[in-house]
Amino acid sequence: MDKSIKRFVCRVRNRIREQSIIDYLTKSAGVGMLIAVFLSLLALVVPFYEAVFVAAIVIVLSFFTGILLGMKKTPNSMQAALYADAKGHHEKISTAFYLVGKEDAFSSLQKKDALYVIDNFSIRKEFPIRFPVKSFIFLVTLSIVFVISNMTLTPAKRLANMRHEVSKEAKEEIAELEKIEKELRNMDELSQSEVDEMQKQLEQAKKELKEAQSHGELKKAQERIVQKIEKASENVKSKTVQEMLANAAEEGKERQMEKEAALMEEAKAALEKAAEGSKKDKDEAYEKLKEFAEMTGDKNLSRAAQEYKESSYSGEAYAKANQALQQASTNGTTSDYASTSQNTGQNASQGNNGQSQNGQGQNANAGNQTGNNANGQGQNVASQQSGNNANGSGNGAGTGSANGSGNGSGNGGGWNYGSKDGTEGENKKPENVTIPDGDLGDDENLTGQANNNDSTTKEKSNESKTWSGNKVNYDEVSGKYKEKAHKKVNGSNYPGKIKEKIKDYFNGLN
Amino acid sequence: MDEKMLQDMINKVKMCEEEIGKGIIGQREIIRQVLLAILSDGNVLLEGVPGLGKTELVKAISKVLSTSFSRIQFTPDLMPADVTGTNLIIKEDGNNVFQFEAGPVFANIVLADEINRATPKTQSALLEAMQEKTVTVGKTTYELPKPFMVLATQNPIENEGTYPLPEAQLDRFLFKLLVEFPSKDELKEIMDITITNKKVELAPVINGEDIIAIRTTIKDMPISDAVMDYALSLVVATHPEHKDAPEVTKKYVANGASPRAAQAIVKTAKARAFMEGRYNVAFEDVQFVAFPALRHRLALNFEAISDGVSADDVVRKIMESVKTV
Repeated sequence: MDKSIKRFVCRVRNRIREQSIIDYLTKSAGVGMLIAVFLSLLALVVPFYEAVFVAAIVIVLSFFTGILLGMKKTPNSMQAALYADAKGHHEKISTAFYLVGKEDAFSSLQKKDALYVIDNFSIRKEFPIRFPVKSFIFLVTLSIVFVISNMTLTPAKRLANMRHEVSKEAKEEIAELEKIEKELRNMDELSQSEVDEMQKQLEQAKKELKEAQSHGELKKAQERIVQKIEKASENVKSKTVQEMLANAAEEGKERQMEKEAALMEEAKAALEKAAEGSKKDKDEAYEKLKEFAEMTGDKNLSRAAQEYKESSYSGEAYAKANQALQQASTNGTTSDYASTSQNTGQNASQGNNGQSQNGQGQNANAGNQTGNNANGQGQNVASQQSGNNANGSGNGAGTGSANGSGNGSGNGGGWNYGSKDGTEGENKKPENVTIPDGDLGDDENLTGQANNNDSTTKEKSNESKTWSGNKVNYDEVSGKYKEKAHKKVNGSNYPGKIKEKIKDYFNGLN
Repeated sequence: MDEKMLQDMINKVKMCEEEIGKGIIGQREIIRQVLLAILSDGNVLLEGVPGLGKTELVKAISKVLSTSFSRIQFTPDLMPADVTGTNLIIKEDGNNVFQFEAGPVFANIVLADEINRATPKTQSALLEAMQEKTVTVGKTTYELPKPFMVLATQNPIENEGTYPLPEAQLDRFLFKLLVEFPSKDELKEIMDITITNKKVELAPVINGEDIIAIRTTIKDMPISDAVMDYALSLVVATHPEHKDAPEVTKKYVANGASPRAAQAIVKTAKARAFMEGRYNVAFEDVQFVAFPALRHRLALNFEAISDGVSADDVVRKIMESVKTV
C-alpha cells in the first residue's frame, strides 16, 4: 500500500517537474533571446565583433538557467501530493503519503481510501503538459529577428570585422616582436643598456600595434617597427645581433607584403564577383577596395572606390575601379619600400620637421629604367636595382645596357612615410631660420619690427639659432618628378609602346 | 476499530443531523456546527436576534441526543448559586447538616439562555463548568455529568441591561455561531409547523455514551502536516505583532486568537471530516470551521469599528492571504 502511494506521488512530481521545466525554459529562453536580439541589433549600428558570440553564449546560458530553475522549482513530494489533492480529493493522497509507515487502524483505513482515489486518478488528464503557445510564438519571432539581424551586413559590422582582422594581425606581429625580444635577451653580445633600449623600442612598437584601428594604421605601425629594427641593427656592434635584427626586419617586410598581396587578391576577387553580382557583392567589393586602398595609401584607388559606390555601382565606375586596382596591383605592393629612404622615414616618425635628407634609396628599383640612362651620371651612391616598376626614381648613373640590366642610383624621396604617431615636438627648435644661400650664419634674432625711417634693425642674439636649411638634391627632385610621371603613365590607358616613349622622355630629363 | 464500526458511528451522526433538521427548518449549517461542537467536546455561543429559533434548536438537539437537559434563563438578578447549586441545611438523624443541592448546570446539555443578561459574577460561575467540567461549592468540587456542554444564546441588538461576556469566557466557547434570518421558503415551512396543529416529534438517535465513543474516535483521526500547518498559520495570522501577519490583521486587530483557537480549529476540523465520512482532515474542513472558531477570539481595534469591519471580514481576508500549497 505504502509503495503504491509513494510511486504515485513520485509520478505526479515528475509530471509537475516536466511542466515546470517547460515554463521556466520558455521564460528564461525568452529573456536570453531578448538580450541576444538586443546585442545583434546593437551590432548593426555599433562595431561589436563579438556580439554574435556573446549572444550565442547568452542564449545557451538562458536555456541552461531555464532547465535548472525548472528543476529547482519543482515541488517536493508532499507538495506534489497536495497538488494532486487539489484536484478535488480532500487531501486524501497527501495524508496517505504522510501516513506512510504507520499501521494503526485509522491510518490503514485512510490509506485504503487514498488508494481508491489513486486508482481512479489519471495523471495525464489531471496534469496535462501545457505548452505556452504565446511565449513560444514570441520566442520564434525573436529567433527570426536574431537570425536576420546577424545576416545583415552593415558598415558597422564591416568595420567590426576589419578591426577584428587588424587586431588579429597585430597580435601576430606582437608575437613576432616578443620572439625577437626573447632572442635579444638571450644574447650575450648586447650590453644591458642596449637591451633596455631595444626593449623600450619594442614595447613602444607593441603599443602602436595594439592601437592600430585599420589596415593602414597597422601597416604604418609595422613599417615603423621595421625601420626601428633596421636602425637598431645599424647601431649595434655585434654582427650576430645585426644579422638577427636584419633578418627580423626582412621577415617583417615579407609578412607585410604577403598581407598586402592577400588583400589585393581578395579585392580583385570581390570586384570580379561584383561585376554581375548582387548589391551585397558590390558593397563587399567596395569595402575591399577601400580597405586595400587604405592599406596601400593609394588615393587613386580610394577615389575610384568611392566613385564606384557613389555612382550606385555603375559600369563606368566599375571599369575605373578595376583599372585603379590593376594599377595598384602593378605598383602597389612594393611601392613604399621601393621608394623610401631610410632616413626620411625616420625623420618623419621622429619628427624632425618631416624634412627629408639625402638618403640612400635602398630598393630604389626601376626595372624599366635600366639601360635608358646609361649616360646619366649618378650623383649618389648607387645601389643595385631590382624589382618591377618601382616608384623610386633614379638618375640612372651606371652602365646600363639595352637588354635591361644596369646600375641605377636611387634617390629615395622619403615621401609617404611617417604617420600620425610622429613626435615632432622634442627636436624642434624655436624660430629656425633658413638661410637661402645655405651659409651658416651667426645667431640672429629677426624681430621683424620696422624702425621709424623704414629701415630694419638686425641684432645679434644668442637665444635662437640658425641653420643651413634644407639642401635638396636636384636628382631627388627630378627623380620624384619622373616617378610621378611614371605612375601616371602606368595608370593610363595608353598602349605599351606609347607608355615607353613617354617614360623615355622623362628619363631623358636632366 | 474497524471500518464497519466507524461507518456506524458516521451513520448515527448523520441520522442525528437529519432528525434535528426535522424540528428546525433551515439553519442546516448551524445544526452541523452545533453537532461539530458536541462531537469535539466544546461549548457553543449562539448569537442572533430574538425569534430565530435558537432556544428551539438547543431543545431539539437535547431531544435527539437523548441526554439530560436543563435550561437557565439568565437575568440580571440571577445569582451564581442559582446556576451551580448550593449547600442546604437539612436535618439528618436529628442533626443539622449541609447537603449540596445541585443546580441546573448539572445536566449533559445546559442551555444558558440570554447569557449576556446576567451579571459578570453569575456569568463567571459558568467558567469552571465550561472549562473543567466541574463545579466547586464551598470546599467541595463536584464533577459534572459526561458528556457536558453549554449552549448559550445572546441577543446582539439589546444593549440596555446587558453585560457583554468577558474575553476569558468568550474564549471558552469552542464556537460562536451567528444565527441568520431564514429564507422565504424556510419561513413558509416554519409557519406550516408552528401555526398549525402539525406536530413534529423528534426521536432520540444517540446517547451520551455514543457521543463519548465518537469523541474518542475522532481524536485519532489523522491530520497531515500540511493541513495542520495551514490551521496553525491561520491562527498565527490573527496576531498583529507577528512579522508575517497580513495587512488586514495589522490594521484592524488589537489582540489575536489564543491557542484555544488552534485547538478548536483542529478538533472541529477532525469532527467535520468524520461527519463527511472521511478518514482524514482536508483544508476544506479547516476553512469550514475557521469562522465560528475565530470570530469571537479576535479583539478588533477602534479602526475596525469605525470602518465597519467585522471579525468575519478579517477572518475572510486572513484566509485569502494564507495559502494551502
